[in-house]
Amino acid sequence: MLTENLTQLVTISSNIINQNLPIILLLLTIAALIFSKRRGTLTATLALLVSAYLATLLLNLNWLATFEIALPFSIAMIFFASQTFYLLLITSIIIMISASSIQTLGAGVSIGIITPFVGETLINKIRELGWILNE
Amino acid sequence: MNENLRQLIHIFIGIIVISMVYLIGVENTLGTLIFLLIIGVLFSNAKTLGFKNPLIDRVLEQVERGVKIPGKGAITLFAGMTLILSLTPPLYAITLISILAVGDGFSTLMGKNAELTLPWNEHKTWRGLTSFIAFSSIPAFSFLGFKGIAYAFVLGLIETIDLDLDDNLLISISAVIITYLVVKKI
Repeated sequence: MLTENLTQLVTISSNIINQNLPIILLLLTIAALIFSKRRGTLTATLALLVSAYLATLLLNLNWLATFEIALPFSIAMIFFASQTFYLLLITSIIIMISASSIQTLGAGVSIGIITPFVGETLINKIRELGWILNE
Repeated sequence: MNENLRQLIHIFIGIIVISMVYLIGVENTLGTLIFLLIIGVLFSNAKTLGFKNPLIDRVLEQVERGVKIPGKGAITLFAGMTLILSLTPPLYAITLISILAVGDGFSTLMGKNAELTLPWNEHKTWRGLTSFIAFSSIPAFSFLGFKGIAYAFVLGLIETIDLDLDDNLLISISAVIITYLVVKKI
């Protein structure tokens, strides 16, 4: 009886977390955007949104699943070389457990790591082209 | 930094990954790549924060180009291969990984001392471009026939675009997008 109740409790809790994960991640992103002074964060986040959407189209993936994995990885990479990095990486590893397939996981992890590099390149190119003023 | 050693390792990693796909399957290879990618990123972060390890430091000294992020080349290579293996069908994936490993490796090995640069990118040479296409066409043809050669040609040209984006990422992202356009539905 106790085991059954505990299993039920775990199931309900994980469902609540899964259902609210996008909102939690969105809040995390907004927080990262507000508090991070590092260049390229906004571009990287926008690039992540686009790349996660493209991955969804390409693989017919559950886009939320890819996005949920890619986002914390991307934020972790933006906070590269910091202790915060470990916290964000742990978050992403916890989310990885909920991945529906190894392809979703691979797409999420690689997009998450690649996005900040692409974001940085984009921002540099925009600066070079003179569309926005240098800081 | 030993550029020849760096490129030989680059090619060797590609060959190992392709062999793994044949021996243990796509899913197990993908799992291994994801694991190694995370470990690599963790080590890179630790190294940037000042963590010292004589063995890793010595390896990085030999193969690192002195970039801001330690192990950037390896991280981008593994991230690129993971992206390709996740988002393209297996036969296309091994073709694209062979182009990424062999083409990029040989273009640097052969083109680094050449003098005749490309008109659209002064950091790349004609010899590097032709080496990319010629050497990567061999495995690409054996996996995917003439379509493989077309991939080698197009990706070779894309690699010469002056974008300031790591070659491993530029080739991988382009390869996935082209495959999507070619295969339409993956």
